[in-house]
Amino acid sequence: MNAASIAGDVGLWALVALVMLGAVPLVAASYQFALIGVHRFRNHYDDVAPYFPRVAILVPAWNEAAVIAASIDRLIGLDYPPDRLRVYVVDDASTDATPDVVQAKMLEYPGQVVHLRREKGGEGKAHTLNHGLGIILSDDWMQAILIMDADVIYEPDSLRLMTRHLADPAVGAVTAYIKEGSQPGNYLQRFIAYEYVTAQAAARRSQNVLGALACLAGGAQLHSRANIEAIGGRIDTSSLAEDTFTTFNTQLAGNRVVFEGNATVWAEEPDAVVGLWKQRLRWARGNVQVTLRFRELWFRPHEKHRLGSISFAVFWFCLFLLPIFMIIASAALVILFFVDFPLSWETFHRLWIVNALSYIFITTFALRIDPHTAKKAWREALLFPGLISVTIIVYTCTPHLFVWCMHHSFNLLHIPWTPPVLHTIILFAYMWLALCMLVAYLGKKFDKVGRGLLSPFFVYLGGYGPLLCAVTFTSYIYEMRGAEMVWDKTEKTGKVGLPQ
Amino acid sequence: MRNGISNPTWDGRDLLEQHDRELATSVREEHRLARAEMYCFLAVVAFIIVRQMWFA
Repeated sequence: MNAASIAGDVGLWALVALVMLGAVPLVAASYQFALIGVHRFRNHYDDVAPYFPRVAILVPAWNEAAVIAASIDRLIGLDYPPDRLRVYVVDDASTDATPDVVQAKMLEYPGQVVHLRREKGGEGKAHTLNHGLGIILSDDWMQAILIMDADVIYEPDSLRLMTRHLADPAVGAVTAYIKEGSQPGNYLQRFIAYEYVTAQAAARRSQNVLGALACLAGGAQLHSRANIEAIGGRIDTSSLAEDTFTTFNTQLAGNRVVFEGNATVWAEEPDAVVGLWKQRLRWARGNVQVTLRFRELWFRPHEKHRLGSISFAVFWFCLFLLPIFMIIASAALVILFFVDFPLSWETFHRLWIVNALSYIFITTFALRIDPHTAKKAWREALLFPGLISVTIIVYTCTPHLFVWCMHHSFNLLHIPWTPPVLHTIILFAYMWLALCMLVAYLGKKFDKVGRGLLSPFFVYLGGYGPLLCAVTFTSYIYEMRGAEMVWDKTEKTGKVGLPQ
Repeated sequence: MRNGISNPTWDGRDLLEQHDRELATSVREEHRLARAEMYCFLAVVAFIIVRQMWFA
């Protein structure tokens, strides 16, 4: 064997390795899901106790006249001792009737509702929160603070289920399970509902097991007073991911962060791809900023916190770099197609069989985690990776049956089943891991076009998961360009409600 | 109880009893999830066997 042949073999196997890189995120996701079972043994329930601190509920509000009255009513009606509950609404220079509505509620609930007004608004949620925090911390009434969004709905027992964790002084903050609660909700909101099962109910339980939480949900974060003081009494204003910064800073201060999956909070999420894109681009850019700001942390285990653990870093980067993994895997497959077709075909099978097994495990388990969401969003769960990816998965699982069906379908359509046609289909399948993001992106491009049917068509075809990957990829570009940080508030209509 | 309310009853309810009930519910839910995970894992294993026997 000569040097050129060895170099050729090494090159081929390097390409195979790059293709298999595409399976790493799903394998990591399966590992993350597998940890949920461990949550049965490794959770915080051994250390909870009945605990009813005086809770200040901090509600940032900008032009929330449509929803703020009902929100205040529901907060006051929480199943929690009323003398231990105060609602502080920080009105971020609203130009609608928000101040009038809040002041009317102050009269209705004397001593329980406080209206705080910022004359200069529009600087972002973190600035609004800091205005309220400064005032709340100035006296010693508050023992715990609940930071939330104006439109979310807490189930009556949720606050109590969260405060019980603060009975353990080691816990600095607790977050709840945010569920998509738009009524009736459209296809996109059903996708989001399923996404939240995987990203919150599932992922955060496994993060509980690891002892490191990636993010306290912006709409449901309960902090002890000691924790808020430990992180400087204010929220970071230098990024677009103030909630993730707060979560990291809490853990770096040596305080534990707990996800309480049994406390449910309902939120209204975007009903159109353009709205979702804006929201997620802000989150994704925030994640880029977090990744860079805490670069000294990754893959470096530390005795004070678990943010540096290998598993946590693997989960974080598999999600953060997912679009890169997909593009690399796809490009390597296409190169292999031209260099060594049989090897490319075998590698393609191996990649997709791993993806298929992960998909089956994650999807079936996620649907079991939250049966209520499963009932309304099972179709979106099945089509989360996109119709074409699911087709490739079906092919991988039952290749002979699939080819037989394809062959007969082609005959019916009078399309010749010839090698060039087959090779074109195979090449398309190889490129799909990268192309799916582009197709899903068309869902944003054609939002509100063609009587609103084109956008769902592209999202179902390309996949909701790939749509989020496209957002992540765009966030890299925005951050590399140093694009201006704009706080695009997600528009809310008040269509969220507790399930009947 | 750390900084909790001094009176263990509120609104006519025994808070300790309520806490115990809610804790039991939460723990049961975690057990349910662990069982669900095991079934899903077994389903994947069964799927692999079926695929190898009839569809590969």
